[in-house]
Amino acid sequence: MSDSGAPESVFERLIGAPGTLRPDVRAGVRALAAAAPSFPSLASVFVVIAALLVWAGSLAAVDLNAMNDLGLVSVLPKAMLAALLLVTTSFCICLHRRELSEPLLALHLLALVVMLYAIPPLVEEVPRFAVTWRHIGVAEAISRTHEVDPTIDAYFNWPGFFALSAFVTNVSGLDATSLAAWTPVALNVLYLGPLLLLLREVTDDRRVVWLGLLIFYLADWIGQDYFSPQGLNYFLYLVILLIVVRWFRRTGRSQVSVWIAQLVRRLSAARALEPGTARRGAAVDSGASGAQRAALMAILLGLFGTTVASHQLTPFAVLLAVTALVVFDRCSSARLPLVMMVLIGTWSAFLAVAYFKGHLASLTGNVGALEQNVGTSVGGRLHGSVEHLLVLYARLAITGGVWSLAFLGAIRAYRRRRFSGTFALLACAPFALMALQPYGGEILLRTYLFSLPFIAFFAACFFYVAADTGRSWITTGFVCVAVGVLGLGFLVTRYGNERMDYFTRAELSAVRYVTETARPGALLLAAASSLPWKLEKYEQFDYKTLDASPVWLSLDPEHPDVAALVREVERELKRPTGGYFVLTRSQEAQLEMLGWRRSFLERFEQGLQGSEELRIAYANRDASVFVVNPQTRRHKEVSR
Amino acid sequence: MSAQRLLWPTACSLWTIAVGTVVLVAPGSPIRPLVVLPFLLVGPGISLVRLLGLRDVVLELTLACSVGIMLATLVASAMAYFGGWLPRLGLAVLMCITLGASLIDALRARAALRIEASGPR
Repeated sequence: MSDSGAPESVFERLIGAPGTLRPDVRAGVRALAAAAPSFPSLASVFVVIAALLVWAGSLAAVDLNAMNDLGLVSVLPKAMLAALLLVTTSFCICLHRRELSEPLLALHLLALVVMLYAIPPLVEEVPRFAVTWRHIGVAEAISRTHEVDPTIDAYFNWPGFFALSAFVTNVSGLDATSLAAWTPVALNVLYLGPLLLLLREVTDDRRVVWLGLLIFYLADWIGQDYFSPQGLNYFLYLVILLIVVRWFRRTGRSQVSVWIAQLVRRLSAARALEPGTARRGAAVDSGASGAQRAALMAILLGLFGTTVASHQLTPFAVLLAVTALVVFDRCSSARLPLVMMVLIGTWSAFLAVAYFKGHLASLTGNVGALEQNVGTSVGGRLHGSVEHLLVLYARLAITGGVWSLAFLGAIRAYRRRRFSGTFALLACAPFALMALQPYGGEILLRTYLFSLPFIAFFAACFFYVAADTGRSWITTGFVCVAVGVLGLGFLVTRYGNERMDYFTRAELSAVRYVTETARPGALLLAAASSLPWKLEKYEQFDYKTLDASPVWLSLDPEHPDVAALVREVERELKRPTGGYFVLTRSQEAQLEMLGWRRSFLERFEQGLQGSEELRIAYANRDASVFVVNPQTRRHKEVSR
Repeated sequence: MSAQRLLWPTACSLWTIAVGTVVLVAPGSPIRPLVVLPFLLVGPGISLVRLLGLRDVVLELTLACSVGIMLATLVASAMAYFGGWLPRLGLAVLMCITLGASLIDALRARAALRIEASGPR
């Protein structure tokens, strides 16, 4: 023991007994010893660095051409999977330690974000997702035309993100494709701040906070963090909720909320034990002055205004969350939902009116049709090849598993007086979106994403139910198994469509050939939607996919009529302004994943090549471009 | 402590000057994205958020990024809607906001330094 009664450190033992060194030197060494990282910390840092090196070293072994319908996981080297498991296991061991090191946990999490989200930009030639290229095209249109034309389509009625992208690429000189490729990594790093602060608001237990963060990243298979308005707006969504929860939170319940919420009365507040909650019905003391709160409210409204100008769905998710907090008396700014509704209404009435004029019926037609909206999101997607079906069922299993874990975690937290009514409301509020719109069959996915931070918190509560429990190796073992399953599940579920989602330079070259040679008003036809098109001159062409045409929809999957399809292509391309049919590797992958046989696609391509009406204008290893054969056309005109 | 408060406004001001120099003097420089992109994300936001006096780095950076995105979106959308697409002017507006807010922050830090220097009476 040292002279202060504290256990002797390694340094103290090395420098000998008190009095053998000058007191000032001894004090300096003791301070150094206190500041020096412990051996387990150094070992954890070493593990993270080693895992990153192994991961980086195995990137070169990823062969995208060998991928099957299970997606990227089918071609990931075993060393890469081992590196990922190593980091998640090391993270769990760090959570097991008595003294938590938050910088160390942050290091693990950042390494994991890189290892999970940076695989595509490092192994693929160009940014993934057809819709990424569409977004690049919208930003390019604004940058080139210097204006927003709301008559083009919905994107130009909520153009905030695209104007921002055009501005950023203009002033920074950065290529939009580079920006798009690394957006998922950048956004996920950006999400870490508000997520960390949000979780810290409702619990003092740092293990719950960090395990919740890990679960969030491993369960976010939705993949909305690409170069998109929703990806950026999700960050604003988190920051808005952070401001509300941190500075405008109340703990109690009004008479109105009691009347409305009898069913959830016990859950919402009776046993809540969030930090700073002294008594019911009182605003939580955030320590902010009136001026600070006013400024923060101005920021909140500014951020909300940005979401209103940038995305259709996010403002409604924010509105529902804030309304739930106000109704259940957990937000001290009762008029906030009203102000938000006014902002949404103003934008819709003045700046998005061009879109609403033509789409009001389709937008409001599904309000209240909950079963149909959910059915479109789930049942409408469950078809395709055997491997693709496995991916789809894995997504359902991971979603159901995380929700079940959260439900059980909420029950355990409630029983141990650690329940957060605020987070329960924020986890449930997004589900109201499902009653509004099918959102192109994606509403369930978006709902899952909006509720995920709060669901992840409750899932973490399942393992660490109290500050004084959960330090047994059995618990740590369970946590390791759970995050290991989630980690491997992440690779299957998030990158399960990768065979159709990734593109090659050859495919991009074919599309660029079309945009460079096509006249304004030309038809750009593709067999399916997965190709990197719409990236240039977005507003100048007419885009169609063959798989949405009545001829395709009436095909017998067992005996598809290839000749009818070829005739349909010929008919579509005979436009005075010209037409191009683009067939790429990624489209064939998409159609195969959806259950169409390779033999059918090969016969279709042969039919196109054998058609007298068509000729190949451009071809490379991954793409072919067909146009109307001018000789045949001229010949027919002469004979007529 | 107050001397440390001068660090951020000084860094923001120098960063703004660096952005202006790179964009105007060396627009083809490969470091341009490295200087301009972080500035757009953090620069205007941190200079404004620091005026709130929150004294929590993670919190300030989180709010700074969101405010930076908000301001850049506002400037870009205004240019697109009003038909005056002048990205350099937009950048200049953001640089002025950063410099103005940094100046206020620096003046406040200087006042705090003076109070510290005068000591308790």
